[in-house]
Amino acid sequence: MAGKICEICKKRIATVHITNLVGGKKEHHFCEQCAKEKGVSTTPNIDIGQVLSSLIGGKTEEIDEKLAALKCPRCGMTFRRFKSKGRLGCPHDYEVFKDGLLPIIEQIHHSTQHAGKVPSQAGPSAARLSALIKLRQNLQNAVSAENYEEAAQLRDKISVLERELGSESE
Amino acid sequence: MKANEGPGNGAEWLRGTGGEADIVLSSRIRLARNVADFPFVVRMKAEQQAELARFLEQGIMGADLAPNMRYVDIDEADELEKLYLQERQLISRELADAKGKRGVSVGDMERISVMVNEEDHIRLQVIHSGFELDECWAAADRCDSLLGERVRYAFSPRLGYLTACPTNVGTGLRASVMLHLPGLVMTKQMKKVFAAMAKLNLAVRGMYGEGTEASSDLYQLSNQVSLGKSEEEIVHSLKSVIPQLIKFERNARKYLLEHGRVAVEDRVWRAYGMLRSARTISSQEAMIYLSQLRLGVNLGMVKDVHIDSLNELFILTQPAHLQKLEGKKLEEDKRDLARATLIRNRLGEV
Repeated sequence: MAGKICEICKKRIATVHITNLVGGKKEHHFCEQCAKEKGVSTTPNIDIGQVLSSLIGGKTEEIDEKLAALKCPRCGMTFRRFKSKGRLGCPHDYEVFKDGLLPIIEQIHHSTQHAGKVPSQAGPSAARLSALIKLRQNLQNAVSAENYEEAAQLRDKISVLERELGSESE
Repeated sequence: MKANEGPGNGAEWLRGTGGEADIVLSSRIRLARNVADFPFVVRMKAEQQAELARFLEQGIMGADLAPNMRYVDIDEADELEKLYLQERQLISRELADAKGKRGVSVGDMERISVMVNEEDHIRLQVIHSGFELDECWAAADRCDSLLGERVRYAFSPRLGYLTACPTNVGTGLRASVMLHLPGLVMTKQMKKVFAAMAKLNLAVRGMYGEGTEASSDLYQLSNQVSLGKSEEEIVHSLKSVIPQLIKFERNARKYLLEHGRVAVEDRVWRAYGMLRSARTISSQEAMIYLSQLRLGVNLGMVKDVHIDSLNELFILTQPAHLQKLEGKKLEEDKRDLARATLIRNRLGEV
């Protein structure tokens, strides 16, 4: 990583390298001194979440005022505050800030659908969810194998399950 | 837990055993979980946080996750103890520096640890020596299921396990390996590694001395994406690049031996000489020489040093471990003195 010059002071060698994952990939290179002044932590054990939150909050584009004003009735968190802190206030925020959060989640993970483990106490829909995840994986496989007949059948099953799960979670 | 118990009785991940352990020092799985119906830690009132800490301590200690689990109240621990736990990778800097009721539960051999009230209510970690990601995931999965019988997790069918930061949502999983890559550093190929890993959505971070030119050549590789893939897929995507990286590192070492054997030998033996002679040495300097000596041992150049004792020195020379060994608080200059003495005693004075 040697050789890059700090983009702030343009004098010292950049030793702090940050890749912005939100809002398109962009790399930043700072020297230790300028990074410290900018508030970028250079300590080891650096927390990816911390860096990301500074990037989520640091986006230059205007925040939609309507979104910014959204407030969680359970924890009192506002979307504006989330944008500046990068941390949510309670699990319910994911529902309340859905419109603002899902695009951010999509940018970070390239997905907005869980496909992993389901906790044993997740309620009666848990089994259905596991089934749904399997079906989705099968669908992907069927599409890549160009097995369109099977894919169509799988799609039907998936939409039935999605409707059932959707009505349960509301 | 005392520093002088040594890694043999303490941290299993320091032992340097397990597959490909000359390059892959350790493997680690971390799961982030929160309790349903509680705000995340940042929004909790002090009494609520204390109530949750008590509930989770009981839940974790009662879940029989590992033999001889013990719970440390971090809010009651002194600075030295907190730094010590950090150096052993049992707690994060964030947990050490946070406020309010919080703690960590540590299991036998320090393979399993559970942080309470860090950024998320629960941070479960499994860490093994060597290249053992599958074993780590299996153990983490088992512990998570046991704990999940006692605690109702915040979970949504759409977004999975709900976490305080959206970067962890979904599986809440971070898988990582710690790699010793002196060959790639010396042949100036780390930039290529960084670029290739970024394409695969994997993060590479320098361990101990990040952001400095000189480093210990230790790097941590981990997944960035936690949503949209199953835990097995995430673990597999990290796991599958490691053999290539190992090959890459071995090729770099071979190249160095074929094209600059004298230069490598010179570096290794100078490092060995410095470690056995220095009267005062900083943590950073010790890391650099220990890394170079470790390469020399793994290349068969230095035969009278065991890799175990080097791995052990990597951690015993850290500030809090040194102070625990000395049994008292030491200022930086005194630490540099104690560090040099410890290393000379362990490696044998010239």
